[in-house]
Amino acid sequence: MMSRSKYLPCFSTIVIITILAGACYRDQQKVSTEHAHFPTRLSELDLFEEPISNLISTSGVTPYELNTQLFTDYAQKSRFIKLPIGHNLKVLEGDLEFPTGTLLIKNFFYNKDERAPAEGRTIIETRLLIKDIDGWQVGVYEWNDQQTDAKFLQLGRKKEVSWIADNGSLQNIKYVIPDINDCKGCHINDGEILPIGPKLRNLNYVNNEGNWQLDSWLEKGILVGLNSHADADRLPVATDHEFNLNERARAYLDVNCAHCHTAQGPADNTGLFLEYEQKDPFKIGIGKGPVSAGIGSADLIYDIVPGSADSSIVYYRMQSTETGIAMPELGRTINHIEGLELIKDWINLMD
Amino acid sequence: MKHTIYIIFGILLSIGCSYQPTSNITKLEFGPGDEDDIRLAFINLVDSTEVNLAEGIYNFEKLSIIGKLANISLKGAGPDKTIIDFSSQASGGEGLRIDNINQLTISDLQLRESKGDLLKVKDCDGVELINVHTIWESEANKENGGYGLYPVSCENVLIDGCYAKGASDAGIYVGQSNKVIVRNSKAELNVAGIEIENTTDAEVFNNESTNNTGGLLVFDLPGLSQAGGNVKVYKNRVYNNNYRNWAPAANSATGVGNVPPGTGIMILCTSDVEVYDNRVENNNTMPIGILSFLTVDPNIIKNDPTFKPIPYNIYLHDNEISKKDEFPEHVRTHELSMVLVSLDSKLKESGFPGIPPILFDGITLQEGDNPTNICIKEKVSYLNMDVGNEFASPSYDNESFNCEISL
Repeated sequence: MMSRSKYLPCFSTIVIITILAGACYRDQQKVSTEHAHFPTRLSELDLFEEPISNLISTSGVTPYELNTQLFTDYAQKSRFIKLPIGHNLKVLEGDLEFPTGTLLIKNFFYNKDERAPAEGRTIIETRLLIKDIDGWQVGVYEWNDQQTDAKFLQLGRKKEVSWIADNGSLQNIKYVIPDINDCKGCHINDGEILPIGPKLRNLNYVNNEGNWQLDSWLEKGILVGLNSHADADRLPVATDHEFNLNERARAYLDVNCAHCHTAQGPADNTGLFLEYEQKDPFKIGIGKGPVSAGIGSADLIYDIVPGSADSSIVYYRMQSTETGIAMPELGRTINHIEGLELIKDWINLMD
Repeated sequence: MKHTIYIIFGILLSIGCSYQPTSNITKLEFGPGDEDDIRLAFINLVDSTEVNLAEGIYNFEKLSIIGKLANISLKGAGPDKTIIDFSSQASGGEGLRIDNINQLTISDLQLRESKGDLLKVKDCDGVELINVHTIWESEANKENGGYGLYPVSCENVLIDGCYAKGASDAGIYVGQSNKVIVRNSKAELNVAGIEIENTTDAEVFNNESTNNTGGLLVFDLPGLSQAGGNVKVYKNRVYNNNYRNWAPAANSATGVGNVPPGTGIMILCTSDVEVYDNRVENNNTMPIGILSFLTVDPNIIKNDPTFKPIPYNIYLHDNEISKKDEFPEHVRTHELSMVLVSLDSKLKESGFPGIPPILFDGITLQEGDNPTNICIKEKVSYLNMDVGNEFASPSYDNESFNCEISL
């Protein structure tokens, strides 16, 4: 940081003082939950039982599922939430309120062979959101090759990742671990950093045995302010054909696009709003010209042209991996075949 | 914690070092080769920080500062000395992205060669961009990014002494902002030189816009957070904007693809705009045009019934306007231009002098001679093209436009 020669005489002193200050601060952190603290190693947070690569959570750390997931280069994800002792999630006006001290944990990994997950996996990164008195703070940890621990990483990194896909083909990508400002760039809403995935309606999930996630949370006291899952909205499951095409497509767009494409979101200047509850066809992109799309609109006229995915800018940008064209802008270096099919069908069958 | 460290930093610096920081301002200094340290500093930035970048070339894939933060300045050694190069951009929408800062100053540096926009400043209040150059060197290259200097959804914006070249959309693009000054700046070889979009209370003066497809555009687009208005454009030199339209966004009504080569100043469906004391020379298709959104997209009324597509309260006066009586070379490959070319021939065939320097599409969606208050006091002729009736009865220099508006 201090590259100018005039600083050099006092540089070592500064380093020493800085380290001392950091150490004092850490001691203070053990007794204070006011400010988020990201330790150097993920294992220091005691989120998972040893060996932590099994991602078996310790007590007080609760795994959770979402109805519809954000696509991130076919990475598998496992999600957990840790609440401060004696606190719970509250439902307020249909939204979740997280207590100060909440920790959200999301692990990104690839199974070596998607056809046989038991053959092992490689965890790439773990992303954390910690809510402190100033709001949500973002942290990223990169797992080591031995999978024994993960190290705090602010600057992000590209990593060669390969796996065998469902169809047996070998996939090779340059996976991008985001830097902290990249994280904030998507999580910012009206100047505040907010969680994206764990919205009440997306957490209103039921597993194959018919157990409702929210009901189990209500029972355990993790969640209050709701009688039953049935009283909460439910985001459709984009991969579940129990839901109709429009519901699935809109859920997909909500989760994959609407963190930016919503009022107060990072892409609100485009006027394209893709949150699930958006009802105005123009705001969803139907008959709407592109705004500040730069090279992203190619020679197309409207964001969505009912009946023609190939004439729709939304679809065009989702099936490109070129910088300046590809949407979402981050977290996708390859195409999401299933997501593309869904959106293609949705637009092509639109009146 | 960072606050504590920086305070200790500050105390140390003031005691032990020759460098004397002013009170409460953290100063960080970097040179070429410090790219990772700069990224780290931007991630951990605290309020009231001045970042100085020494002379040299810096290479980034992309760079961002995401608030909330207050009083942040980023200073170079001069726009030809401190150069931030984004040739290696591999993801993201822009080279340098700034979000949610109160009181931001970026000065004396050059940004160049991103795949997306070069400098996007969003949701900031108090933005000063001074002596900042945004450059794509490769001429009319569709792979150049969209916008050079791009403040959007901001309040209190000053763009002063800046230069924008090579944008495949607009060189200087102020969008959805309020209280804006763009002055003493130059835009060349972009598709659009300077654009003021859905922006209120803007003054655009002492700028130079040349060799673009269109020189200076003031317009509103549908479906956005606010309508624009109260824009003054004066004492600018808008000249030789005859470049072919090379926008990759070729066909959309909302893109620059529809700007005819040879456009000087274009006002598209916004309101309360005064254009005066400008020198508008040698833009040889439409030196000044006043158009409704319906001329570029007749479907807009159906698609967005809430949008007002008609410009009103537009006042042109005391501009020095001249053009050649010959269209630019590239109009014949451009659709909207060809409409003007054929109107020109039609008028000449009927014994009229062809299309004059000032064109109004004449669409008002209202009765009356001049219901939308288009006022023109110029030495040159103007034409109501009667686009709404498929050019059935175009009229020159209608007296009803001889009026004044005070904004």
